[in-house]
Amino acid sequence: MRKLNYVWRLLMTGVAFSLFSIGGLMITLLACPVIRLLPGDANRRRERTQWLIHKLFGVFVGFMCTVGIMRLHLKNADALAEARGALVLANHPTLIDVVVMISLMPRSDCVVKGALWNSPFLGGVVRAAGYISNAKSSEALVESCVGALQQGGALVIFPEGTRTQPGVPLRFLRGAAHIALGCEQPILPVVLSCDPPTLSKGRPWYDIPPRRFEYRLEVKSPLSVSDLIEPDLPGTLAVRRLTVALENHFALELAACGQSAH
Amino acid sequence: MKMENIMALSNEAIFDELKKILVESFETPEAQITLEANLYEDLDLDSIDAVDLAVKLQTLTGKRIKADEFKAVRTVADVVRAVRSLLDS
Repeated sequence: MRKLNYVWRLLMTGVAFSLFSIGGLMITLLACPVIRLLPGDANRRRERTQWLIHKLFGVFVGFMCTVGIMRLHLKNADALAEARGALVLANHPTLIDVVVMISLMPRSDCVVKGALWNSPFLGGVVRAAGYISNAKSSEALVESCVGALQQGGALVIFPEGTRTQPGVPLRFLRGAAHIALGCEQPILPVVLSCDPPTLSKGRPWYDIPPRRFEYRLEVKSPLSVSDLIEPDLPGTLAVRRLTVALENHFALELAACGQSAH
Repeated sequence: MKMENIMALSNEAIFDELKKILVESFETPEAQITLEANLYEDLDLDSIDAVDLAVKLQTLTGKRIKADEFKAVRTVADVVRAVRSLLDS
């Protein structure tokens, strides 16, 4: 029975991965032209594409839960759905983090890898959604992110810049702090965990856990820069202090969530 | 000979000024600042910091730094050289 369950989950994980790429291609080929034909300006198109991605990610997460690959535990997720003009920061344990988060967010902006931006499967979608490509200079990237926030977007950033290395102390890049300091918008911390760990960095998709994974998402209270660092620091110092403060904040939240899980 | 001495001395002065900037503005541990140290790999600066550093060096020298020239800078010695050539120009 256990063996059968394993094979089933392996099969469904494969199906999920294929669905993702095929779905991306379908939106690029079918939905994007339709959205382009609908009335409304570029902004409206962007919103519609973001909404479509949100709905499809919801279907995708629903699929994974229904077939028994994962179980989703949400806490205060409404705060994510209502987030506007907020910098949403999260740790990054798995490949599906952004999928779960966007499935809860009708409007979302995110930074995507240059490789994804030009991918035949997903490139069309991420471009139509007005997501931000990271294939530009850091200054231009920070500027685009601040711009998206000032327009009321909910910008999802993983401050680690890559998936969390299990067992290694949390290490944030300074990008998130640069963005937070570039605008006055609140920071919305999201703490994610996945038990047993799966889809982490360097693990192939077929290396599935021995049982269905429990995926937890908790939206914490919003923070502002002034809660975290002293005022009136010169820019170069402010960005460093804020990075460390955010790192510590998340490390504490993660430790707390690890304790409550056991 | 005498000329060279002055040059050597002022290169050292540039290095000292640079060290001061790195410690004060970028919280770089002083012990890590050597001529060979790479700004990005060893001293943990990022490209946004490099812009800030260029601005600070402009203030120090009173001369404009060309962005393209500064992009080629990798090590502390490169910065000293860049400042040197600014002062000499």
